[in-house]
Amino acid sequence: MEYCFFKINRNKKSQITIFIILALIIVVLILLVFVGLRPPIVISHDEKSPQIFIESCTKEILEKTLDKIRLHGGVVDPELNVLYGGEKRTYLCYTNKDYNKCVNQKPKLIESIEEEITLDITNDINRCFETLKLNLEKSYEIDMSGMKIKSELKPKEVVITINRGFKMTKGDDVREFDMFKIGMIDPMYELALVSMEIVNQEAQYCNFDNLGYMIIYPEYDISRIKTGDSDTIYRVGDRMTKKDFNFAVRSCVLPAGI
Amino acid sequence: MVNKINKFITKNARICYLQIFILVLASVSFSYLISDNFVTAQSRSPGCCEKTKDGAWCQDVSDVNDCSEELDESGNRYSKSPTECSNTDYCKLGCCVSSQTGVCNKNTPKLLCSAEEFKDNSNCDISECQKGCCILGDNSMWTSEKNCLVESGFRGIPIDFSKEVKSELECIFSVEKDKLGACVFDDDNRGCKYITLDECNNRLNIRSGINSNFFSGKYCSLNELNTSCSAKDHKGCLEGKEDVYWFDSCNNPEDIALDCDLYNSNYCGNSGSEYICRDLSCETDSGSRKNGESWCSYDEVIGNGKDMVGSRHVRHYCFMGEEKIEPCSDYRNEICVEESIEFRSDKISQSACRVNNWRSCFSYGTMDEDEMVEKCEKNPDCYINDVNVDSQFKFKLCVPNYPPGFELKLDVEQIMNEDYQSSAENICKMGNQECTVVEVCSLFGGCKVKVNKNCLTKKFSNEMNDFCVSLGDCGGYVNYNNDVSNEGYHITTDRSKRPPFLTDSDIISMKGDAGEKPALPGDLDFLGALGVQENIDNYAAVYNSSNVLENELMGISGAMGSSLLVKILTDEVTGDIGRVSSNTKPSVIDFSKFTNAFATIKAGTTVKYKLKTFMGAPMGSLIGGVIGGVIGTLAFGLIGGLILGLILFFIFFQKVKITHINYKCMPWQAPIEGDCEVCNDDKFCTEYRCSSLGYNCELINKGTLQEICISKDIETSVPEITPWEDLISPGYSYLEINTEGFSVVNSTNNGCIPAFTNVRFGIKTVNKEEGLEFTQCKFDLDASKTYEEMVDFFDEYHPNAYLPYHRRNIILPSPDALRFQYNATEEEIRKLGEIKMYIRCKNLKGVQNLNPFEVSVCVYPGPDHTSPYIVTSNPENKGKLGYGVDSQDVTLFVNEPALCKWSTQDKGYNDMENSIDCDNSLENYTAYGFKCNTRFTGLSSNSKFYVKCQDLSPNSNTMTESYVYELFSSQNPLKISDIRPLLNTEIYTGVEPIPITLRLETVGGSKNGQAICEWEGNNFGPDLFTETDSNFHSYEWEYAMSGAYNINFKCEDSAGDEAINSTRFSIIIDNNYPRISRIYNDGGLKIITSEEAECRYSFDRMFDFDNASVMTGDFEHRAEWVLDEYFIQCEDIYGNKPSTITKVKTY
Repeated sequence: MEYCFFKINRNKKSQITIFIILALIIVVLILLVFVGLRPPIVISHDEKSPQIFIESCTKEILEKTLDKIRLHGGVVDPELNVLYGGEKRTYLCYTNKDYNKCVNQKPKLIESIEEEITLDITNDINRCFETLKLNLEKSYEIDMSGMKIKSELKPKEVVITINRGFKMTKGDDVREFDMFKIGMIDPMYELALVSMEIVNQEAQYCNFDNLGYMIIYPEYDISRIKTGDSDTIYRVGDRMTKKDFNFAVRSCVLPAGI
Repeated sequence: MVNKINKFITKNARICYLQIFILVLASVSFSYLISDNFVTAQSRSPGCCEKTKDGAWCQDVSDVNDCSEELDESGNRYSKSPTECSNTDYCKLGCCVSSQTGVCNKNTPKLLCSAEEFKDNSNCDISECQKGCCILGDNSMWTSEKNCLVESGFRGIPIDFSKEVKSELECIFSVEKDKLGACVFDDDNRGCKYITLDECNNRLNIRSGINSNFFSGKYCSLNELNTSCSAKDHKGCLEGKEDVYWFDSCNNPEDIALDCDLYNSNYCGNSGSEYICRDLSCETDSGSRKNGESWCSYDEVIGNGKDMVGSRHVRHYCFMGEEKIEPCSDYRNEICVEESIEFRSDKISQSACRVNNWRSCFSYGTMDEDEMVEKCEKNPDCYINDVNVDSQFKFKLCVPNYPPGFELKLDVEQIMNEDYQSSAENICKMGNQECTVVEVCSLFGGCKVKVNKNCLTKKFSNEMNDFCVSLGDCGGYVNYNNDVSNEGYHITTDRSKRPPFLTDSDIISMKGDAGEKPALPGDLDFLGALGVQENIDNYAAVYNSSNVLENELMGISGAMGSSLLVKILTDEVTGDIGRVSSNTKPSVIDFSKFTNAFATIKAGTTVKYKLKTFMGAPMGSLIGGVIGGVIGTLAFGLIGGLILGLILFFIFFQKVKITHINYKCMPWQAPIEGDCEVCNDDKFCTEYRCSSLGYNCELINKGTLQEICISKDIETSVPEITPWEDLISPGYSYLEINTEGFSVVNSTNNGCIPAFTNVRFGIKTVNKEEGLEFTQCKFDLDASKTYEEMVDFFDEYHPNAYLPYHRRNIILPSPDALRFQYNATEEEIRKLGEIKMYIRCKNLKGVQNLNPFEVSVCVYPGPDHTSPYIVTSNPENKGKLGYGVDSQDVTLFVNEPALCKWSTQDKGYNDMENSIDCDNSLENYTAYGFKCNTRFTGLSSNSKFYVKCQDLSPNSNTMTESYVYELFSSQNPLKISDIRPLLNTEIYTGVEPIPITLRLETVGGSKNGQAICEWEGNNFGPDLFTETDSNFHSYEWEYAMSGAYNINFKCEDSAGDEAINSTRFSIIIDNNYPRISRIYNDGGLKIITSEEAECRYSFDRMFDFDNASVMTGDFEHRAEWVLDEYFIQCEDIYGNKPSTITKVKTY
């Protein structure tokens, strides 16, 4: 049995050349794997499991949103903020008067972060559905209803619940989905709780002793820096996941002089 | 006698000295005058913004134009009110208890919280927010009951919450948690999880009855359980646990494999593929440090007022094997305090950045010396600076141990504001002082200094500079890079003799007197010296508690700070997390001294208030503020009393020469060109640190990753002086302007200015391109003097600052008025009236204008045809006097030497019956003129007094119109009309401590009830009310404990009238939960409680009080009769309810 390949390339030299080229390609591929330059991730859209596609797509979007929220102190695009380390840090507690205690600016931080996540991911998740629909329309008739997204911070995880009717029809084969629930392991809930504790103490005592807190709760890595403008920048980190939450406080400012 | 003295002085020299004296006098005087503007009137309208343009909620702003103009979600404009936010409803601060999470949020504006969630207590001292121990399986959490319910719900386990556990430490380390055990699944694999019973029930969906699949205290790998898990499969770490554990093959934790100890610097971790007790100690520049240790580092020297300009205290700590740094607040508003203890032959240090209470030091200056010394010595942030130059020039004052830093660069826009003086200038000038040197001369023996000889030596310069430096970034001193700047002080004299200026080595050697390192945290005596926290100690005495603040801190996550490590180590335990004693009584460690709590900030606020009150007072400024006041008093006591006596003695018997040596303390000036790179060497370069290195240094890219202190090129050229056209007093103008100088003239006739009239004028320095040139300027009356030799700085407001604009006031006496006093000739009178000031300005590179710039001013030489006038008075005209006051001592300030009289009728000078005692000597001339003292009597029948003065000129000019001086006695005595808490009030509360607000209302007195009030009682205080100086006064106690209180109040109005009153009240704690005394069937389920309560029931063993059904009634509670198992809980009005649920079976 002869292969087409050999039919075309009978020449010995050509064969060696092709083998060398193939060997080189294999070496390059192996190198790529070893040096970590992996080819771009292509999200598989398993036609039989839109759930998997939406979960994968949502997680990618959620990860980016959570990163922004962590960096900016609970919001994606901070309004009341101070620039520190090249990033805008939201003031979770703020006063513009010297000597005064700060006023809590985000009292329900967990609820606020949930809203912020929902707002930031909605359009992108809608695009996930549109992509899914586009891909599936080759084989199925797709019917999608309106979408409602709920974000929840829970201990050690963030849960996104997407309420959306998604119907796939191919002849008699009809499959319907009305809810997609995606959970992602993330310490946002714990970090927000610690941040609220910091804000409470700053609002009452003008101070938070991070070392004292870490001695009791060594799972957190809390650092704080007082800037030259009397802002306090907090970084609340989770030692296990290495993720951190960054925000600013301006409280009980003592001016230069009187 | 004066003639004899004058023979010793040549005529020209005499005129020259007199001119210098007049100008220097004017300069010193006006430094007081401008301090009047320390509290500047705001033309803007302050108020409260619901939201500011920056996006901040509920902020008090100095101008409501800073409020957001956006529309809210409802399309309405955000509110703004012309009052403080605390007086508005929408921005009222309270506690927001989240209905979703149960988390309590302090200091929350009402508008950011729903009506149901908002509670009227900003510190969340309410039963709903009282923290207790929440058991979450094999973990515990220090939180509120509601949050505990939410957390339990997340884990699918019933709530287990205890208020009996009183501290966070006890909750986390000592409370017995749910026992773990093997939870075996009935699947084919015989899977198993090592979890709690509740978690097992939840997994297996068992809501009631016995769980036969749970084996308490047993590992999954036990053979008898017949699971698929095999024992001791591998080692690993457990989250939040310090030890290395064995894990079975199903990844369940088992026995401890290695016993690690977080507090002895080791913790579970992996080394390659092996799990070990990882060493957590840190190798640092100061040696090996244990995990949890913290310590301080400084820029070379600290204490005794020797902290270097730009320096910053830094706290370091070692945690989890990593050394971290936390710089304390900039401008040395915080200091790093450290203390070490011996533990098991090791030294463990603990540190904190705590508020530098330097402001308190100044406030002690208002006390008498003994009290000042006592308070000062108790406060580790202050020390007594004992200036002892000579027998007649010595004083003690309480000054900062760690002097504060100031903003080192002036904003050119701000200085355009007529009377602006920076905080630095206001504080530094408290160090201005004058020493009077008396020389006695004889015909054959020459002159010998008899009084204050040392004021002519370097001892004066050294000690005064040391005093000046201790006030803050003032005087001649070094920055943290050891660069010397000698431009922060100046010494002037009205004669040729003056003490030498300090050399660089003199200044560097000052560091040798620095204090010890590290800074000490102080003790309760120190906190007592702050006034506010004195209460804490007293609480301890009253309530037999070791320290209320400590007990309070024990309940706050992390607030115990670094002391916690020491506490854990010394608390009769081995230091193992799991074995920390439940006895968390803070018997060994004094947490409070490391705290940075609000009380210390509050102390700063009170001091600020006191300082501003004194500095803002019209006569307060006359004596130069609080410090100036004390020095002024001392100086006046010496110079005005003893020295004046000596002078008179010498004048009577011999011949004297008097020299006034003035030390002028000014803000420290950065070197012109410094090494800016030094700032980038550390990780906490700030604007303050950067600018302290040099005038050329500037911090750029603030807030970005590229933030850096750079050196900017200083472009300079030869400065050219021009008049500051926009700045000249109305009625005067610049004339004969050319490159060499100008004249200041009366606009009406381009002639001389009238005597004793304040004229303000200024100069502008420009470069060749007519751009602004930043310069420092001096003047003298002798054109041949070099810049360094010149008598004084030209700019009275910002003397030593490099600025493009400089201003000065001149107020010149009538030469004619001095004719007789100094027996001056016509020629001398003419010369006295023609003053030529020669100005030299140098730019940042030291380049000066080529020739001295001449400013000519002439004062109308005479004969004097103008009558004297009264500039001001003390007490001020139309002032209020106390109720029932019949006579009053009054000082009138007259613009020129004069004789004055008064009468109750408006009549001619000669007909006036009462003489006034005027001090017309030029030496005692004050900022407001010559002092004339008298006593007005008969105030009960008359409030109006007519005063006329006649000058001492040959024309004897006399006031044609009387100066009408009025004094009003208060019609009603000052009274405290309302006191809260009301007398004999009983305040019931469910928790302690609670915040209590003392409130007073005052009526009557000199200003319709406006008064300043203070309180004391139960061994607390005395302390000023936080809100006072009005009819309403309030003071918030953060930590009021249960007990009986007897509080006394004292208020004083502007006329000095006092009102006293008191109140008695009790705080009673109700922390007993209502007990169910009877349960029976009475046509339904009926229960009776021991006190008024709300009872709720449910048939679900996962009882949730908030979602349970409410029983009717207060004491007798009813519910429908159902054959089931009732779960019942009752809560009283203070939120007390039992930790257990009562079960009632009706079947």
